[in-house]
Amino acid sequence: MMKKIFILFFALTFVLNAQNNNADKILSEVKKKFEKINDYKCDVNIKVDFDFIKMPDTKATIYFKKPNKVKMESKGFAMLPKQGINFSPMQLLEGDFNTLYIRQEKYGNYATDVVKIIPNSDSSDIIMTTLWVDNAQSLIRKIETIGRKAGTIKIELNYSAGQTHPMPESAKFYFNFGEMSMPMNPMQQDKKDEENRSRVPQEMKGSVTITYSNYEVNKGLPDSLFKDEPKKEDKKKK
Amino acid sequence: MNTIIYVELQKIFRKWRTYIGFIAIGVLAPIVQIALYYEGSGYVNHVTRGLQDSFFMSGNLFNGYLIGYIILQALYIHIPFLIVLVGGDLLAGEATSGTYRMLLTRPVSRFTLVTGKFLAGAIYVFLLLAFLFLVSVVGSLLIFGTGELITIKGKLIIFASDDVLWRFLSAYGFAFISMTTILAVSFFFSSMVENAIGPIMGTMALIIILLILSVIPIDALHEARKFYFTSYMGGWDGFFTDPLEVTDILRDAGVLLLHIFGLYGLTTYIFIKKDILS
Amino acid sequence: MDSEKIIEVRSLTKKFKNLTAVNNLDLNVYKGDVFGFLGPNGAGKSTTIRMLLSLIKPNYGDINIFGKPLIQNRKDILRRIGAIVEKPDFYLYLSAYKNLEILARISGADTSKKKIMEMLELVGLAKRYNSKVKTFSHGMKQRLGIAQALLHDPELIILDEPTTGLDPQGMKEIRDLIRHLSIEKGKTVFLSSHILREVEIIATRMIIINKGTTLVEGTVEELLKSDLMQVTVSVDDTEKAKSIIDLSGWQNNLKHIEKNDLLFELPTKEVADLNKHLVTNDIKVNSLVPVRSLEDFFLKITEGVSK
Repeated sequence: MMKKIFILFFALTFVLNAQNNNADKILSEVKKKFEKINDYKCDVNIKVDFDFIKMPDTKATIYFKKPNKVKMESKGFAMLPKQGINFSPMQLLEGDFNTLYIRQEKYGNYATDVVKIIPNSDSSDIIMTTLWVDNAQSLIRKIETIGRKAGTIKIELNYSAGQTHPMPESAKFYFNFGEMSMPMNPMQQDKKDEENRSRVPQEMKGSVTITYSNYEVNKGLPDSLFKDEPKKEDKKKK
Repeated sequence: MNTIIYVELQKIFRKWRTYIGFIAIGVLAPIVQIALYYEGSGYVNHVTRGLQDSFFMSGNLFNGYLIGYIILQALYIHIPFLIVLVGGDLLAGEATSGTYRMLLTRPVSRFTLVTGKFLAGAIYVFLLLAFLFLVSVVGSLLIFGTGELITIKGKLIIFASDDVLWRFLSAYGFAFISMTTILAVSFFFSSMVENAIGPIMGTMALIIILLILSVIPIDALHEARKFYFTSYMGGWDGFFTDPLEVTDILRDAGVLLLHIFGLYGLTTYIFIKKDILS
Repeated sequence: MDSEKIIEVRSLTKKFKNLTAVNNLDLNVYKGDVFGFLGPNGAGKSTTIRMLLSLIKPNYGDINIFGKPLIQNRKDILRRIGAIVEKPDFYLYLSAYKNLEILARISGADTSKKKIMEMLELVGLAKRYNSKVKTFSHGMKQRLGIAQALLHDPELIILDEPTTGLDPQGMKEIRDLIRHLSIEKGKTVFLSSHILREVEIIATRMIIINKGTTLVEGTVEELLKSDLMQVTVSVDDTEKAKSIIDLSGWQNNLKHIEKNDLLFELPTKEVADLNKHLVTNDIKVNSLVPVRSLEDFFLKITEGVSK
């Protein structure tokens, strides 16, 4: 009897361990793919679809260099979700965290493993990230992040057939910032303001669709390229 | 008619007070531009703050179009005061100076004269607005460069840079209708008295009173807003929304045009019937 | 043979609220006349002139100018008239030249520099052509007023008190100018004044009005040198005297009643008969003063108004 219990306990531990190992292994497969990427440059087409923002589709060029240098260049104004440049799970796997294998799940036409990453630090911006990893190709098909500040973000990623790098061909970001008040227009004391409920907190949600093209991978981008980024925050600090 | 308009323009533009408007704009717009040049990026930051946590941003939202928009918004309510300086003087000024006698014993019909004067006034309004456009939009574009225009109308709207100019032109077109309404009001007052100060002060007082009544939060007064012409003057902002508030814009413009034609008609009637005793 | 009537006014009446400014006025101005339009201040001269120029609409009566009704032909008629109404006012912030140019333009007249300078030359302002009118003295404005009235070469010139505020030299210049316009240029001049002497010297025909109605009308010779005599008869009972006169056959000779004074215009030889008639009818005649000239008469009614 005692033995049986011991075996059961052992088996249970083994299963749990196996699961843990499984999650780590899945992630390291993904990570391995990204490790081959030193830098890349690509064009993006950004389509923002929020209730509270109306803006035209924009084009930009984005640059990435390991480990976490990013830069966006655009002729006009462009806004890109911060997760829209660096897809490497490496930054998720920094510091102290736990991984958890949840289950296998069919996502679209793909068999995926669902893995959760939970940072242990309270100071982390992210509360929890869930990844749907295509187990045949070790590609991330879907990411769900619950952030402390930025609300919930869900990202769906698509890849082109036969590509050699792990970056997506398109990605759709679903944001839910929770309830927020729109900032008042500081110059506007217009009569219509009171009518358009701008001060009443609204449910802020919507999506951003990004199409990536013209990837140029590992062409050796110089560090100097990234120097003046990010501009806006510099200005703000003044 | 062309002769009268030509002559009236000469009179308008040889008067010192005509230039008060141009000087006011010529001074105020650059002050706003300079202030924004040093402080203005805060404006954009204020607006986009909520998004900066989740998004990278690139490009220049703090550009000439935004400045042009801010200046138009800031000065819009004050331009009427520059309009009445000229509008209130158009008819009453002739009475004050006694030149009615000289003018009306010329072989021109009073209808032609009053119409010519009104059109000359409208040309002044047009030129003043064109000047504002030149200084605030064209000038700001030269200083701050072009780019997308960001506005807040209950939601954040960003217009592509090639989608902005026509909005400005249309907004200024609407502003022209608004300001011509002010001109018509002061012109109307001007036809009834023999001193330009009365119509100038009278129109200003009327605008101020209506604006104050518009913002007093009492239901009955609030309801009455739809009878004030001032309530329709802000319609230019409708061009900076997406989708365009076409019905609102057309309604506002329609109400203002009715005011213009009504007041012009009334003024003409009074003027033709009037005995010139000055 | 009647010469051409330039101005024909019939039963002209204008009321302002309770005041009747012009009352049933008739007058005729013929081509080539220098027509004196006389009356004390407030007699209705300006109101009449304003009606002739369509600045004021009459309540009643007809105005024909150049043989056409004024109301229907306002533009055509005004094209042929040059006028100064009361004091000449200009756009003070514009130069003399610019003022004339503007007015010429509206009149559809010649706006060439040559023509405008010619007009300024005529009134002696050529040197000051570029000065703003606000720097002008009253006399200079008055002369500029004449220039603007002549700009478009009008056939009829209406001058309302053109010599007011001028020094004697200036007055003479204006008189010479009017004479020149009349005799050499063949213009018809309608000249209003409250000073008889001014009109006496240059007018060919004249009318004297008071309280909006005609007192006397005729050529200056007729009025000054007629064998008709004007007598002011002062009586104690005006009402009674009037009723007696009405039945006497002299009723048409009674021109004016001012308090206790009755002004008669009648052949000299009838003066004694008139006196006798009044006395025999129990009217006390306090005085019987012959009016020696038009000026005496004019001064009398002028005084009557100022009392």
